[in-house]
Amino acid sequence: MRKSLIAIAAAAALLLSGCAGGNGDPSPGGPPAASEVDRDARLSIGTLSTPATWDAAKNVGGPEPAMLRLVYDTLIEVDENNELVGGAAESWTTEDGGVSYILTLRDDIAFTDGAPLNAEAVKANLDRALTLEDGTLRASLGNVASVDATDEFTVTITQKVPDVTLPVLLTDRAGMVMAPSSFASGEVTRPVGSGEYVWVAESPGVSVTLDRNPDYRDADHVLLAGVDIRAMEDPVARLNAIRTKAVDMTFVGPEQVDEAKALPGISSFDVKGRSLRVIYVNKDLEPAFGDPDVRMALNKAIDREGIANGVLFGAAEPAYQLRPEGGAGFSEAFDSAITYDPEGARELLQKAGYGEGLSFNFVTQPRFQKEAEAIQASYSAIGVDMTIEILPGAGAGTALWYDKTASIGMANFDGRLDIGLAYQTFFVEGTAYNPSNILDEDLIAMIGTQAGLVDPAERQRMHDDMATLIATSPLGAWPVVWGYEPVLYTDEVVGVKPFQTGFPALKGVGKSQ
Amino acid sequence: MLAIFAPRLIRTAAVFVLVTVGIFGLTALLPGDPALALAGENPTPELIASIREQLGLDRPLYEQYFGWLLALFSGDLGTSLYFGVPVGELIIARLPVTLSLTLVAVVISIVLGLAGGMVAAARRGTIVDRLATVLSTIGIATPNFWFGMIFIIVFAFGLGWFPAVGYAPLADGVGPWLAHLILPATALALAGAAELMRQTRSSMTDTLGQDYIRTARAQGLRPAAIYWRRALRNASIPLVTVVAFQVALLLGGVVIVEKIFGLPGLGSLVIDAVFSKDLPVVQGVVLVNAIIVLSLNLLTDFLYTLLNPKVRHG
Repeated sequence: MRKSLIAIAAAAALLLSGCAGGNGDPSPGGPPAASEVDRDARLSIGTLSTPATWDAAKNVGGPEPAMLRLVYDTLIEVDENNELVGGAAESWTTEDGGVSYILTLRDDIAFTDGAPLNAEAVKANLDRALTLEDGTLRASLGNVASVDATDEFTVTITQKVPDVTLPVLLTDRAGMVMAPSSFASGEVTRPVGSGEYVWVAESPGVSVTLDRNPDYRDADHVLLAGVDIRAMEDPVARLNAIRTKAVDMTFVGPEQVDEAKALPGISSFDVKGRSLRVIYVNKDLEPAFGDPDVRMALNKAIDREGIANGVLFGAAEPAYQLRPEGGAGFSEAFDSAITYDPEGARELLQKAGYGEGLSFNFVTQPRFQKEAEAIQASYSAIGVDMTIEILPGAGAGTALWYDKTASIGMANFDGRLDIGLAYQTFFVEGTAYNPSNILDEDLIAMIGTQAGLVDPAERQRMHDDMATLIATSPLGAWPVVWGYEPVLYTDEVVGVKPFQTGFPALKGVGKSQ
Repeated sequence: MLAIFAPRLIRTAAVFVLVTVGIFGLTALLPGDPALALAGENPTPELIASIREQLGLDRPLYEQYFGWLLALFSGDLGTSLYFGVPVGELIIARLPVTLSLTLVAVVISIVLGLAGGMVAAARRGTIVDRLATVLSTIGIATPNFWFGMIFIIVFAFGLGWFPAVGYAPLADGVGPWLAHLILPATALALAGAAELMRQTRSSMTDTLGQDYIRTARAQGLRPAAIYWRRALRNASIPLVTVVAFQVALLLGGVVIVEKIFGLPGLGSLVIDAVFSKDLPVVQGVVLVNAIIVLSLNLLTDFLYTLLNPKVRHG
């Protein structure tokens, strides 16, 4: 039963499998032997920032859930092979084709405040996530109808319509179990969980101190005395920190990759599938974008290989699907009509009646300015006049999705736990990321159908068809490139595995004697 | 003294009010919606509206301004939209880093600037003087972040004398504290030192040309005594203004240096707050900076009055 459940869950599994790179490969197999590691050692990590909030129901996602996972158990976990495995729930099952899921919890887990992690605690967390007025999980849990504590260690989650992606959702913030005492007052001022580490102290935006949880259920995999998280927003500062061993582990940007991987005594692996540059278009503001030939032309004009290798120094790959190559859900049987073909693009624009040219304002974030400039040059070659407008912070997203003042622009997509969720994010009616509702009825039907497919092979075939569809007839969101996140660590750090769930993932990680 | 300072205090208060209008108005012009940044993935318009209402962002701008101003007078700088903690707490946590960096930079700037300026004045017209001019030009023209990167390469990576990133609080010991600050503070200080060197040279040259200095030489006073006891005191009066101006510039210049060296100071805080459109933090940090600069101006006026009898007796 467990194997079939994992097979089902694997079909709905997460982002790419990682591939190791750099001076040394991450460790295969189990955790390092006890004699190899210094159990009193602490690990220093350089991150972008500290979590804005430790409240899983209010956290906005992105890079932060990986830090929350150090403190909180999730009901279901993802291992380094992108397989779903038991977390606080040792098993889960559906007996009605994905309408309801029955989770059996471990009976030996306690929060660090002493309270048991039982069905009532899980229900309290999920009910809160479903009803919190300013919660950030209400949209992703929108299909959950009810949560019941069937017995002391059994939870039944009933959905409105069948959706096999629920177990995947429970590997992230929706599945994080906070001690009910920590949100009894309404606000989580201090995180209390049952995870590998215990939150000790924090200076917001500067540092977080975590100590080992001595009562963690899987103590063999917690090999550090504690973790010290240091926020360093600048990737060059993080590179300098790992170079001088001021931190033991960090990640850098594409501009630093070559230099980082050449550092002596530093190993690395790439986290893929967490940063997709996507172009969004609004046909209501620019009618040309309502013409499929124009959309295809603008896609054919983009040199995705050039951007991946030139702008992002090879720490990226061209994107035609909502998964990087090798990732769970990636379509090998894939037929893309989007090849780099400026001549073909020009012909399509001519056919669509834009032979004299097209012009528009293109909004994006500061971090994508170089990609935008590369696209601008490509478009200029086919007679399209594109002006770049850089909007800091959430400005580009606001203009594209909410204020709807921008007809075209580029913003980041940090992946979805399941590729079916990614399609729902971009291509169904009314979703924020499809601001002018550029729809394809066949695709919408497939999105609905695949959510209820239990057979992994059948689901993958449908994903193959969906990938071919969006690559044959681009809609309102166009994948451009997947950026990698190179994770670096010193040679003192052992037991590192290429988790693709984000940075840091420290299960089985220690420091050598 | 009160007669001298009362008008200055009133002017400072008026400037402060203008500054608050400027701070609030400029941050309100920043593009992007902070409610969207806080709403997470695929939020509904209702959620965004709810967040805006909770944060008071749906009120008219003038209401938001007066609410903010009233809270200021009770010491409340608001709550960080991003971290959910009082802005005052964030600033208090970061202020020691920026003040430490600025303090060490000021000391380095004064030492290098005064020493260089005095040597150049004493050796005016010689190759030493010309070299000092060239060095000061380089110091003024070169961005502090460039110096910072060079120092990291040479002194951190190459020689391993100092750490490349990070900050050690004074509680960890003076040695680690200073070791983490030397490189960034020097990078920050060089432009100011260069400017101070020029001003010192100019001021000392003028002073050394005065009749009373000629008289002191004629009376057989040693050169060192002439420089330190007679010339420097009078030459330093205009330098007080220059140093105060430099401190204000240093406070603004810490932003990039803090980023390069990974220092968790106010500069880093405000840059991150701008990008996450955490308006209360931006307003709070800029306000604190403004208060420090206005206070420095008042202090400079006070010192000037003490040093220059002409001002006192007016």
